[in-house]
Amino acid sequence: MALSNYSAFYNALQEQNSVNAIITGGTGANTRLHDLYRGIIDPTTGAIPAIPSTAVALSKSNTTALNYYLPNYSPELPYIVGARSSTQGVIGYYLVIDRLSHQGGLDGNSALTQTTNLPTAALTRFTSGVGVMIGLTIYTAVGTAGSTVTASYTNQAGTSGRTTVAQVFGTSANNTTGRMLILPLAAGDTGARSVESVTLALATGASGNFGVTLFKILGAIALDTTNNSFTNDMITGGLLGGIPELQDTSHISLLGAFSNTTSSGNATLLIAEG
Amino acid sequence: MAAITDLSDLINRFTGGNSGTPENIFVYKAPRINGTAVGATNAAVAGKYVSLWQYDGTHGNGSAPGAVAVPTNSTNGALPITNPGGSREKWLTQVSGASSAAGVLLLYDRLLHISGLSGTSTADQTVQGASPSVVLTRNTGGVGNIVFYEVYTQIGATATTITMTYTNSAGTGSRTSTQTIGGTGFRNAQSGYIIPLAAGDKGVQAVEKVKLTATTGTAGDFGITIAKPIAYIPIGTVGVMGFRDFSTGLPGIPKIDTDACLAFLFLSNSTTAPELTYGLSFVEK
Repeated sequence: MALSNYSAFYNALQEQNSVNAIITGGTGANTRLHDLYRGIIDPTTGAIPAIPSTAVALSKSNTTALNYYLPNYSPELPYIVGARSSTQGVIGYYLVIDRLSHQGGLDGNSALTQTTNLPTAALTRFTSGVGVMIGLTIYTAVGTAGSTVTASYTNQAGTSGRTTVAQVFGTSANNTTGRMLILPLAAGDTGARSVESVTLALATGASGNFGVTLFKILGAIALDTTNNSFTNDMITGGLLGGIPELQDTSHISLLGAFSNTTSSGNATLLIAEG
Repeated sequence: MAAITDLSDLINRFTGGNSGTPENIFVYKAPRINGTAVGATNAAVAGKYVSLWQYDGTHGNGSAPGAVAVPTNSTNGALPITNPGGSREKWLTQVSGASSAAGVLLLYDRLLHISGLSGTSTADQTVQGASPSVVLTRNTGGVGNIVFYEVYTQIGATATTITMTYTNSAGTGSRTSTQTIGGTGFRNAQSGYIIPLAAGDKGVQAVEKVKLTATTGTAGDFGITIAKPIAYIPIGTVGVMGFRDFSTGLPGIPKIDTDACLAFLFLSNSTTAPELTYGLSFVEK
């Protein structure tokens, strides 16, 4: 159910149903996008989430979901009504994502077409694929030799055999642990349902470990001053995406880009029932 | 036309009430064209606009249009927004953007475009012609419309002048204005150079033709684009997300025309080809 007016929105902000992410220091290239999946401690185990191997579709029932402890809202809809966040010595931004499907075990030192742990698991949300992005998450650093990467995917119309446009891979800014490389789609495509294979043009010199992550961006949080805390909502600004709607089974996670290689901080998302 | 009434109305529509149909679109753009990294012939120039029309991205890239045409939201390269349903209108509520290079994002509706013009010809080069058969379908009155020449393949290193003959927003034809074309800073592919209008003019309904005073030395491929600017988003610091929230700041909440072909120019502070992540939020009323 929609929030009917400002009073309803204000009340929603007071509900204090929240999800918290403590982002530990990571490594990576300055200002480049990072996947914070393994930068956020799993609250149920106190451990860093394991590197994925086989293809898995993710949901709120995975302990790595930031919204794991939230109640079920169905049949109502939950919304992100606000955010509190802080950073330590860095500026940048968070992207709030619904992490739909991921896998790992790909080799940064192979120039063959790779199908290990592929295709990706079928989407269970945003199943049309519209707006679903293909990211490559580097779980263990690959080599520094410059290469490019493409993926064979099924687009939002269900057409298989589509090929992403070549994207940079390897080199010092694009090989580090935690780095997320988003793959541009072929002309005319607006999203992806699945990835069937990944191909590097050249070996990077080290195998490392990387994998495909399918995700949809729900919102963004601007972090524009260092050592500061931020309170953002659609009234005060700084929370982009309006009042993003979640699906009850969403697996909320974060991407981030920071001005320094140590990307530590925290983010709290305020969730309210519509 | 029914504007957003107040904050309560906006909140209600943001969350899907009253057929608000909220739409959030986030985009990633790589500094690559059809898989090839931006290089010397299409490098960014500090203080000049980069056209992101052909930059690779998560909704696919655009291409050189060829014959004069009116692009829409279904044209490759356009932001893939949906048209409003029923008799509703679409409103832009937020824009955000982060980049690997500092600068300013300019969001615009791409109203008409053409490519295939030559950097060596000194003859009249027809855009829409004196009696256009292809005309604007959005913001047809022309007030606020700008014109830029857009380079698709690098033109020559000799600077000269381009003269544009156009019809202004009052419907007066045969208006002329000029801009530098060719030479350092005015020749790279994936660049856009706004052509100033004649004194007293407030916009453009049509562009009849363009003419170069002299050859630039290389034909390359350039075109003319008519656009309606919608929003400027400052990205003052590399890697930090700049944003415009139209519910909290001027110029208010812009209406987005049905079929609008939303695209971006990037006014770069440096020669670094921008790698961008940006997002836009819309509601309907």
